[in-house]
Amino acid sequence: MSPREKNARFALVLAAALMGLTPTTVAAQDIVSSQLRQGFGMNKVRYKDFDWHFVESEHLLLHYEPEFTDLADRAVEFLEEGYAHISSLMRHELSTKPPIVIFKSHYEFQQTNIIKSFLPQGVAGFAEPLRYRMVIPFSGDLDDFRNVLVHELMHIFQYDIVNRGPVKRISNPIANPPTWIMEGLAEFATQETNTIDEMVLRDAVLTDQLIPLEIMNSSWNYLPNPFLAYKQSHSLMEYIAANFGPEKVSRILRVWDSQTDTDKLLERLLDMDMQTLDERWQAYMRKKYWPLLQDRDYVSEFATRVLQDDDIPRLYMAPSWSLGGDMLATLSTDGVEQHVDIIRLSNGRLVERLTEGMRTNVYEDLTFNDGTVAWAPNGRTIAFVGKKGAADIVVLWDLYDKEIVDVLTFEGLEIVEGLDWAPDSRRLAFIGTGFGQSDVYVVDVESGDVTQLTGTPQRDDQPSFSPDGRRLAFSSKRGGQFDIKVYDFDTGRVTTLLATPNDDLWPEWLPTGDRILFVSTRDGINDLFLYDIGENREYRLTRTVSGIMSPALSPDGKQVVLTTYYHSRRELYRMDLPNQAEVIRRSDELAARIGEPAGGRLVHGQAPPLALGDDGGREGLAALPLANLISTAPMVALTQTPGIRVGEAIDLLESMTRGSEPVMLAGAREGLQANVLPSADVEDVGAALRRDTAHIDAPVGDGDAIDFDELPVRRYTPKLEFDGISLQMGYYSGFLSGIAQLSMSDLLGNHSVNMFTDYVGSQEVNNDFTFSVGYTYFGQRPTYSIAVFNWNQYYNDTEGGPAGSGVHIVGNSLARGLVRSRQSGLLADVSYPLDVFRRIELSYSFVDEEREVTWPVTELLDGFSTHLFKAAYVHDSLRNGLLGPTAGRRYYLSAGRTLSLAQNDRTFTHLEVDYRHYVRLGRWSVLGLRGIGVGSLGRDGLDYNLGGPAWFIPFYPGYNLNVGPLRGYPYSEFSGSRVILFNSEIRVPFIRNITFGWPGTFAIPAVDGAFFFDVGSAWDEDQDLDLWPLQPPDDIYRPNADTVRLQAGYGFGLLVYFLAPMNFEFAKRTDFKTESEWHMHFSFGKAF
Amino acid sequence: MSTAPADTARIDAIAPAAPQDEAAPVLLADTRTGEGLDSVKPEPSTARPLEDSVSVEDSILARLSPEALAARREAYGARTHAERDRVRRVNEYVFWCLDRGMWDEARIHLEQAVQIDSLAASLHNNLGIVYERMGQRDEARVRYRTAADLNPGRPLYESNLSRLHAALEQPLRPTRSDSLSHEDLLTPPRGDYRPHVGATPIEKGR
Repeated sequence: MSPREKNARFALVLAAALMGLTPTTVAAQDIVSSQLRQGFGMNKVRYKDFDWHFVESEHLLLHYEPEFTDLADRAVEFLEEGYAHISSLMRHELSTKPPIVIFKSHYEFQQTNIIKSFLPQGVAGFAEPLRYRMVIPFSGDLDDFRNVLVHELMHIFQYDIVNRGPVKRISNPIANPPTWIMEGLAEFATQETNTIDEMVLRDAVLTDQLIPLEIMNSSWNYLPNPFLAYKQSHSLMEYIAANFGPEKVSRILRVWDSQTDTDKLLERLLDMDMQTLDERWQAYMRKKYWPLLQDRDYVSEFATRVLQDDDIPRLYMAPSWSLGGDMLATLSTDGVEQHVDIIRLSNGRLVERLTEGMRTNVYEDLTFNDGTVAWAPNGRTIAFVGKKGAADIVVLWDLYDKEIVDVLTFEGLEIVEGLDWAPDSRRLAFIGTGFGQSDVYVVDVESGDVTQLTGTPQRDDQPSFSPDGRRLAFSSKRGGQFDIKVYDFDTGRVTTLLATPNDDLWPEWLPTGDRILFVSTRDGINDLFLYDIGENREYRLTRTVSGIMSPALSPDGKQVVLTTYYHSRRELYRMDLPNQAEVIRRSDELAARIGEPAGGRLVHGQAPPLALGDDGGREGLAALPLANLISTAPMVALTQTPGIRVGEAIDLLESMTRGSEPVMLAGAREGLQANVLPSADVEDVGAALRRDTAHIDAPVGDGDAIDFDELPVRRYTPKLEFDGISLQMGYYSGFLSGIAQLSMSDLLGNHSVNMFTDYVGSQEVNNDFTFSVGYTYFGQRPTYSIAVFNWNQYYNDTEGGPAGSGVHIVGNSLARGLVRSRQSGLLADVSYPLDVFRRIELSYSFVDEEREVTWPVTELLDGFSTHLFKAAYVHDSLRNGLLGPTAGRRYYLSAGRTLSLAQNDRTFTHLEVDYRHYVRLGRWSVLGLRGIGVGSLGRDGLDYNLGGPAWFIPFYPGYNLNVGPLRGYPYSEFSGSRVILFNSEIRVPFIRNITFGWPGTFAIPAVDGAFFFDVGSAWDEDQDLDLWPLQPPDDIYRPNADTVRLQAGYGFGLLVYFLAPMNFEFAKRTDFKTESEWHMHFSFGKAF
Repeated sequence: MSTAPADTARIDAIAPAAPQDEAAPVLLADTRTGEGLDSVKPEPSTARPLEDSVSVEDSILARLSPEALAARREAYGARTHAERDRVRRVNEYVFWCLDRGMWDEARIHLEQAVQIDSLAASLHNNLGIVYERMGQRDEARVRYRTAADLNPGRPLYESNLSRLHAALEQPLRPTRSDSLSHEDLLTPPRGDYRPHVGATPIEKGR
């Protein structure tokens, strides 16, 4: 449990107290003991002291920091455009201005307190229905940023339509529409499908992998390929809009408002049920994609699959060649762990793993992205990107020494990707995202000097050094599409090399320096092309069904490893790069398939602006009209080719960079210098990052530009608002209970107040008032929390008390007395995260406790106080699955001591060690090992319990300190102030993602089998512990015996995830000589 | 004939010369390049790049005068611990590659390494073995010869050269070597001369 859930934990304690409201024999030590229980979980580290401001536009409140005002300016324009679009589409105006919070990077976004739980890498943003807050990070690409903003804004519209305003109740009585409708609408609102989206959808259609709509409707959260589900939902909305009219899309949520069943909704909206809609949409998709098979190739027809390990399917990214061309360094994941691996190409097998563990002292996590692994041309150094703190770092790993030799950090840059080494193996180019934009940088790995090469708000990506190291090709987005540009280190200028009407991506310079391999999105499908600089001509190398991503050229330029998407997986393939004659032949053959002329395409549109500079005497190019230099002009094959020899290509490129006058892009706003960007040859990155706003592109869209400077800007000041209110009434066995829970926080979630009150009324109880008020501050790296409380708990008097047996005569019958335990006091906690995985906790607890018989007589039993100081160190680097941990380790060291200030103060010392390690056995199986020792030493030591399953037992009426599973024995059978316990368990996957069609459609995402062995014991100060022999299984447990033995149990279990983890366990007690009968346990909760 | 187990022999075949073989208390400035594989700098090494004369029949050092050759031998023996360590690490990586049958990878690293540590006899010898395995026997002979010239005190290099000559059907009697016999390792299969150095991949059976 993370410190940010402290309040929740306290609430849990109180909730547990409510469970114990019915007369039971619960020991009244819960608040103190709850402060002693360990809490695991990763940390949300607040690395930065944010300086929040907000600007109010016509329809929204945007929160941002002044350091990225330009980005905020863009966000307001995107959002207002998005608002107009969605409002028109949904025919709805929001009932209130939604507060929107933007971060300039994902790593800062991860520090938001609006959601308290840890946000993993894959979360691109979120919107919440309670207060309509949207939280979005900048990913490095303005178009992606706009899409996410519009996507989440659509969700706010959806909440407003369905709930008719912000939800002010914790439990919302209105059923949410199915996720495919919500997400499909949100994707539909962005109105943008890129070629990667199409690739995934096309693959699903052609390989029969589409997710049935019925499954999406019922089991969204357990889908194995959620990305595909998003794309299908988007496509379904497009299909509905195209075939039934866009007004149907806008009506969906209104129909849902009155008809909360998907089948009935579709019947009413489209006059067809869900299955019919699915069948028709799938037919439409097949008609759309199957004709592609006529003139396109599968990648497997011309390339060889690199990886062969079908037994453990892994996903590979960012391939990079070794010097000799025998190996690839690549990112890999099996869905649980990520690694940097070296793969031998001849057999596709792993030969070396660079990353022993996912999380080390050097980096907390690997950044899983294209271009985050690069093998240096010296053949010896492999660079990869990891995350450390709030930013990416570059780790340099030495192949000879087989260890990390250096780590590069970049002040001000949060995200690093697109690594590419210079031929000297000293300079490393990369894409750095910081200050709200992404640009090209080069770092000298020996000196650490960083040079920023570009500086525009638009996305730059995929740098590639020329063979002589004097130029750097990269893809650069202008006007919403990627071109290929070249930076010249001699002149410091950027020139457009390729600018077609499509995205031109992933340039790779051939070793000869006269040709560039690249990917272009012609016909909406990524394919491989070769651009001959000397001829100014491009040749198509592939015409694929699936598409191609991130090609990596071998050092000798004779082979390419490329990534494609097939059968719902990214796959690496290797193909030979043909010689020039074969290139021309293949290009002609591919052109002939669709009736295009042979001979490649003359890329006159990208011809260098030689007319504006030194043409070097090349009449052919110099004679090209300037109009042809406009980069977005449509390409038309010319009959005359400029007569440039291949050998002159490098000189030509030099002349291109000398011809450095700006050329305006078609569609760009006046004055925009699009192809000449400022360079920043400075070592001071901070100075270099000051941008020249004159070079900012025009925003996308046709609406009137919003003048950000005219909008009112104010500094953010926290104001508490209601997050939710919960009211509950209950009656049980003569007790009437009224519970009210209220939580408040400021908009950014830094200040959180929770209040809880409970009133119990019965003929036996009076003057009952239970409450707690807690405040937690999350705004800094340490988390502070404080709570005051007054807590009453009732139970039957079984102890007798000073008055006698505790049995009373009421009327003519005997009755047990009713005892009230009242605990009041104060809890104060500080938690300081050292990093994501480690933290130090300090706490002070003061609890004043009084026990009295409240019925049938009023009689004070006893009273005492506790001043408890505790310190703990927590480490948690687990990977969790649905049914329990799957890899990693966690441990907890804790020491506590009471302070005795008065005679009635309790005195004890608390010591606890809990260590858990999870060893992977294959892809899914895991061996879990756990050892725990707890001691509550001293006069008033607490009692801990042992026995039974690990977690929550249904209908167990109370809260107790059960240390862990000791299966084969009744729940909490053993107790003592000292406990040791060792658990081992092998968990093996039985079933993954099984879907049932009756009754109703539902999924069981995981069923595991488990084999376990537990051994442990609990004893008191005045007892001795015998480690051997073990307690015979049939011996009766005697809690007051002089000597206590270890108890052991073993068995097997079935772990089933259905709505929640459920455990069916069968165990025998054993002393290794005899064993008991089978005992069955049922419990909820994840395995230890 | 060595009776060493094949694996041991294989490693010996490619192992760098033992330090005691290389020790000589002479320092020559032009051999202290200070350039390692981990710090390739644009400045040329002060040592003459031996690669220039790779096409010489018998040895890269063949063009040198006896005095110059002697000076290089002395320099070879006087290399620093760091320089020898660099060579050792290259050779270890080469073993790693050869164990996996990645001959091209080994070759290119050795070629790169001899550009920097041109006096390391073991690099030349190992490069010779790789060349030989890849069928480039003329280049292999040059590398063996160079290794033997740089460190005539180690019979291994002369032995390799002799064996190669024998394989080329030149009636050159192999030099006896107690440290290693390459006949075990590089015996040409009948009809096709292909040595077997390091051809046992560790992934076997995966």
